[in-house]
Amino acid sequence: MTVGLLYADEMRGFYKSYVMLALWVGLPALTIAIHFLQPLIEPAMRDWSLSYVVSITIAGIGGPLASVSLSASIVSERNQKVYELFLIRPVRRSSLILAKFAATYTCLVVATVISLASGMVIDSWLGAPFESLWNEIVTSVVVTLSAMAMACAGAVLIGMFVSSVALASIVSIFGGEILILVPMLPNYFDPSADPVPLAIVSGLVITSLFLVLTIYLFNHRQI
Amino acid sequence: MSKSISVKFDGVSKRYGDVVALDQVSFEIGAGEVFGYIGPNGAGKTTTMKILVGLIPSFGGSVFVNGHDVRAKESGLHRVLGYLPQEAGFQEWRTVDSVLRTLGRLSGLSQQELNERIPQVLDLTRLSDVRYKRVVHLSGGTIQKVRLAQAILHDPGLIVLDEPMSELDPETRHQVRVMIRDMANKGTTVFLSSHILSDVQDIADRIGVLNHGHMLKVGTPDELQSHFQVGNVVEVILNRGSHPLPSFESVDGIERVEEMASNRTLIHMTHQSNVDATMGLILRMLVQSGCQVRNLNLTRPSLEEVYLRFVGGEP
Repeated sequence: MTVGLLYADEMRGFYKSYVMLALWVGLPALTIAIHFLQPLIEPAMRDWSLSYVVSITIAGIGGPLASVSLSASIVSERNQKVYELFLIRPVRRSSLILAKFAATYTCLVVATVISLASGMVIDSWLGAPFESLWNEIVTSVVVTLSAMAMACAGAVLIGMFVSSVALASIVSIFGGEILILVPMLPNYFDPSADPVPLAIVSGLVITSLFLVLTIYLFNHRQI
Repeated sequence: MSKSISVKFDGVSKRYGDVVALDQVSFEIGAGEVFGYIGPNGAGKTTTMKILVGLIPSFGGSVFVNGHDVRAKESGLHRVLGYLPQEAGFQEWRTVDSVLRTLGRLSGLSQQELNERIPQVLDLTRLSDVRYKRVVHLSGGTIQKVRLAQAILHDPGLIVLDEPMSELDPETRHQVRVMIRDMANKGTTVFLSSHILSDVQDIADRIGVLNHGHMLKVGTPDELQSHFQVGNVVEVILNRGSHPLPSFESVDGIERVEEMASNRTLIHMTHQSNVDATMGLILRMLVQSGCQVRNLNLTRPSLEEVYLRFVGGEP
């Protein structure tokens, strides 16, 4: 019940502080802008459907975006000693961590879905075919969602143990960029390998490991 | 757990690396008692309080609340505890109402209870006018009242207040003092630290004096004065143009003389002096010297004087 309360509270915070607006409007707007502007620089993109551009754009910025936004907010709240008032109540430290992770991840997943749906709607309206690239789109989205989960969990770990917002952001960007590569590793050895299974497994395993480690360390740490 | 909550610290120690924050600190707080906690910056007051409320999970010794070890999961402490930290922030997006609603729900209050309780607490802390304002836009004193409001929202049986008077104006300080006494009268146990020693002296039943992680003494304000042996003070105010005061420096029972203004002097008695005999002697000397006395007051030393004499430094 406590996790549910904290999760709802985090979502309310995202709504009130316009984080939701920035993600749910900003991300689709960015990908659409890239679709229409990037071909001026990269002519090959002229033939790509918007849905495909959306999927590869989100794959590129999703992990780092998740990491930076979450770790920076945690460091900032920790420095302001926001959590003291939560933890002197019947709230487990693990609940606080899980609620933060789940709320941020939800926001990012919804942003991804909105971006992709917008791309498909516009593709259909323009008569641009995206069905031929459907497999690539799905692969890209699964890899992105997996990387986002790992990045969010890594961001919670960074946020709980780094004291500077700037340092947390830098470490998170590096970490997010590295994590997005994990599901791609099979392609390094075999270009025809399907990254989806590894994306799902690595997403689950690494996310769980990060979260368990954070909870263990946070339980033994002074606030 | 009942409303009457007692607290016991038994040989509590805490180190931060090589720094000893608390060293074998032991004391008890009775149910319904207001226990004041004073000591200079870095004495270990906040560490003591954080250990009690569970924010510092690792420490030596034991802390019991109504006989239950605070480290035991089944202690039930968090359901009956109100805590006002020395510094605690709120997320930028939060309004006062949102702070109380979220923290109240986490304390176990239902929506219906919150709808009844929030207006009461806002009224009590005089925050009704800012209920829907963002906390970050409020003044430091008003934010301190928000911290106090969240601490008393669920009508806790034990309330821990770390510097509750800081950033408050004199009128609000008075209100908070009255509020704390009212809560104690209704059976709430109060553990408070403050650097405003007169506030502690006014409202605390007993006081603990902490210095460098050691508990120097626990007692009532009278017991502390007696223990630390600070004598009484006679304030002499002369008419303008009066003869000057005679020299009291070598008089039996007088420790020192302190000139506060051209016509106002404080005469500090030794702690062993017989107050009546020394007062009589002072009066005789004043009359014999032809001094025109406008006012003569016998005052007991304040807690601040006791504190500065035996602990020193900034409270």
